[in-house]
Amino acid sequence: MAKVTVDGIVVEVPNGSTVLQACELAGKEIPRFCYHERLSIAGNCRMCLVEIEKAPKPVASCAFPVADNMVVKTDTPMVRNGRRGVMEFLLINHPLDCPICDQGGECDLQDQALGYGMDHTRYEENKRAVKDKNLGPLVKTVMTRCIHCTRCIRFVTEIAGVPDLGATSRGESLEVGTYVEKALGSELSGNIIDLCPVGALTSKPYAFVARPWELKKTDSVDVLDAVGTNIRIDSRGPEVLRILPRLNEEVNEEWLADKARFSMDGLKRRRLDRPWVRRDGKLVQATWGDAFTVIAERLQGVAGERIGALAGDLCDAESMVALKDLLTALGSANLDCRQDGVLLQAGRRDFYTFNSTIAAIEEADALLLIGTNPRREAPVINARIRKRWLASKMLIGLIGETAELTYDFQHVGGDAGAFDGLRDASAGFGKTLADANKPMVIVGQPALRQPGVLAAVWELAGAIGALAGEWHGFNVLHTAAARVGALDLGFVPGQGGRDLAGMLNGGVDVLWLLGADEFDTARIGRNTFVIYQGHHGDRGAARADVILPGSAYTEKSGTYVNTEGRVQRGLRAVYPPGEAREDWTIIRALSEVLGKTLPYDDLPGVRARLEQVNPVFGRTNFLPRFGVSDRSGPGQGSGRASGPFGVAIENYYQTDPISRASPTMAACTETFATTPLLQAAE
Amino acid sequence: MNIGTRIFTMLYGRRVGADADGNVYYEARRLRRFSGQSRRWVAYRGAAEPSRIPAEWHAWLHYTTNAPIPETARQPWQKPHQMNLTGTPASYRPPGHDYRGGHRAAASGDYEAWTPGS
Amino acid sequence: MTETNSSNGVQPESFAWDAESEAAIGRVVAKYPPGKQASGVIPLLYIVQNQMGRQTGSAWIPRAAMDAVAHRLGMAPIRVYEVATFYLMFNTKPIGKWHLQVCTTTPCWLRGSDAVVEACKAATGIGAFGETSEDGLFTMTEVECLGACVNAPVLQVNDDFYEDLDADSTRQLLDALRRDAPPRPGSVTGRQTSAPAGGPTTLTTLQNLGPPPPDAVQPPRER
Repeated sequence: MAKVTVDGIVVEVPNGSTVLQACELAGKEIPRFCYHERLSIAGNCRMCLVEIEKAPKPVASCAFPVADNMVVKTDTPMVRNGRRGVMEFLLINHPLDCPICDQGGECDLQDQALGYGMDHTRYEENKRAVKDKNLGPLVKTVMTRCIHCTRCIRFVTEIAGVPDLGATSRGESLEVGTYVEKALGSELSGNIIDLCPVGALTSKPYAFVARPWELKKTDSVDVLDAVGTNIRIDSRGPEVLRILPRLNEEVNEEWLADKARFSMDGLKRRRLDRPWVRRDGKLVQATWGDAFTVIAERLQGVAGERIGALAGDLCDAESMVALKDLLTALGSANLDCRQDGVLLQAGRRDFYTFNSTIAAIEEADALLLIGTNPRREAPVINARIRKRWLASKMLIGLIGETAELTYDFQHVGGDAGAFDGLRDASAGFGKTLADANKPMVIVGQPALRQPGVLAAVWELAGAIGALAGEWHGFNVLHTAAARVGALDLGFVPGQGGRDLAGMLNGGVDVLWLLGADEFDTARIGRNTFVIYQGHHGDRGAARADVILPGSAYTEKSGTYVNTEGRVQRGLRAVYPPGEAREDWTIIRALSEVLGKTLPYDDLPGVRARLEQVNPVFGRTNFLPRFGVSDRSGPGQGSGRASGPFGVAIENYYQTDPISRASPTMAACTETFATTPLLQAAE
Repeated sequence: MNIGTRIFTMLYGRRVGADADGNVYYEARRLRRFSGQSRRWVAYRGAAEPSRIPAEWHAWLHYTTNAPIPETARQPWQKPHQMNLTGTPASYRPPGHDYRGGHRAAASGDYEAWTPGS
Repeated sequence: MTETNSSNGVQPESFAWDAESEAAIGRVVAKYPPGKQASGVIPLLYIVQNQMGRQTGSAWIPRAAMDAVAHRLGMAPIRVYEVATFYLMFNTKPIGKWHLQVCTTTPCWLRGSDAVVEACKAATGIGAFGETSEDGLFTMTEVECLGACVNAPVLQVNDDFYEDLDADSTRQLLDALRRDAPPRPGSVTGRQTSAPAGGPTTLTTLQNLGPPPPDAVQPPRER
């Protein structure tokens, strides 16, 4: 530890820290452009100048290591003059187009120019102009505004692992770009918009839409993948204008995947805004009363076991518990949430969650990926894996379809047959796993569709020492945001209940789809009466006999459980469109019409019920770390795993009703369908 | 013009002129004692509606000019004078108003609803 | 400086190393420990440029060659682009057979580099710095100090320095180049390296002494 005095405040910082970090610790704000906590240090903007005693000139604090008994001054005439000079240099070539710049109001350069800028310019020469680059349908560039902080270059190289950006040429003609024109092939490319301290990189879909001070900011949770990324929804009036990540060290750090960031324009298209009822084979508009009456009449005399319900991938826990309670009241145990047919069971939680936790990836020293492509299924988790891989050269093995990941890996096998080879602790990747102190296994959804894989992977994890008292290395990577919550609530076939396959092909007479669109609706029996409750007109709505308009994740206060089993709450940012309502209230209202009134009528009531069903819902935003207490595995089940696992996500940009309705995601699909995601070359 | 005003006009008034709308303008033949100006007034053709007075006569009536501005002084770009139509059936209604069909142009905050078959 | 895929028709589609380059690459790459081969990017770019000079008479680095370097060294192509565009000694556009690099920094300028520039323009028909003559033989660029200020003004032709130039000697030099008969590099006035222009002023007696016989012991010379 080094003792550093910053403006008279004595702080202790670890050796090797930078002066800037010491200043932060002392509560002194240091202006900066190029420095970023999560990126390597570049030290090229020179804005963070401070005075250090016995140093003859100001030093760039971001790149200067601390020494014991160092005396730092952050607010002296020398420092202020230095920063003013740097700011003047930065502004030589920076255009004065703040009124037409999308960064206006949240621009680092604007803010810091307020503190260190001159009131006039001393330069009469023309400013330089730089040609804008085309980085694809997500990131808009105005390269004349670039101040060459190189944050974007460092981000795509280090975090995203797709080294496409660079600084070419030099001096006056230095340009940040791809040199050869191409779109940024990363699922995290939107983050360079947040990183850019000026308006050089801005959001293309959000261009000229709003000013930051017009927006209402609502904290929420992303549901387009199962990571549970913490987001902030910026809305104005009835529309969601943009989505930004929120800081959460344990989940997403400060990154956000492109699908979550840019698919919100899908929230304005193909919306279900009024109930529809099928009359004489055609869907006609109806009132809530009509729709409820039709459902009540159809349910008249239908036995409980002929009713089924299917929960979709974007559902909040509140609506699922309400639907489960309603079906139980109707005498049905036909519930399912596993649209993709994975063989996960409710019950013991460590059989279906990401037990190590996302943050613990940074402790693992060997990783085995089974039937999963984290880059597409959970880009933010993929960034964590890459972070760990860069830091320690963690050895990574992959069983399943080989993929373009952002780190080196060893392809161990293509199917479940490869498990046996890994038990050999003397050679190959099996030895790597056996030698590791904290080995980690991540199993993806495609693998879990095959019978016996869950048990086999659990057993393998035990054999390689991933199931220890202090370290739980068995992880299931989900792709659906609602899945873990549904399993926690037991939204699976009850005693004698039918699963998804059993409910299709006429297995039930009445099928309730709660936002379920990710299965083949053609397999629903011809005479099955389908009630679709959801927010987008997608596959499910097209097949439905009654449509109940629900609300999307931005339009309701909902509880979501991410793949780790972390319970998080999102708040309502805007109201649902038209006649649409929050989902659990629809079920509650219908229960009254059916004469099975559910015993809760406000949000705290539903949440109390959630906690009653499963106590994990009582603790939000908190996840205890735990080891393995019970090493007995899940049941083998019948059948045998065979054949390749397949892939969970074919097209990253269109996986759910919201992203399928989004024009931006359609543009991405068009751009990236021809240019496959690039392999990191480092 | 009611009977009292008609007698007053006959006794004291002097016709100054009339505007295109047919309103007739008068001023008193004698100057007022303190102001040194003659009183000026208008006899409307039809309903008494002050906004029907065109700008040229409005200026004269309010003592802004000594003599009424002649018709010939109108510029080619000047539109014919129109009374204030607020509150009448001919009043302005923005596009999308219920009385203009009620079809509002799409705004940025609107959403696109799903219809079967789309 | 962004290269677009369509804008530059001169970019060749592919690039292949020839035998001489392969041998040179082997020598360069062997100097670095495993995993640090990326350090060899600058030598490799020179090898590319030399090969292009041998093969096409125009020593430049096409983009396909930068990709080949990146592939060879296992680095991201953009990292090679960055290096290749940073250093002015790497030509990212085709150049003439003779690359005339005129120094116009203060010492050369004071000693008459303007005359050298004018002579180059007159002799080759080039209008401004950075242009190539119509016959494709010459490209003239303006460079900063070449470190030969003692022999100013200096003109670098490809890798060779020609010093102590004036308008006439520049013209003669260019004529010789046009005949493909480059004269010996160095001072065109014939002075030895950077010795005083009018001949040595010290150690003058040394001039008359030939190389000493190998077995002769030189007696201490009298003052």
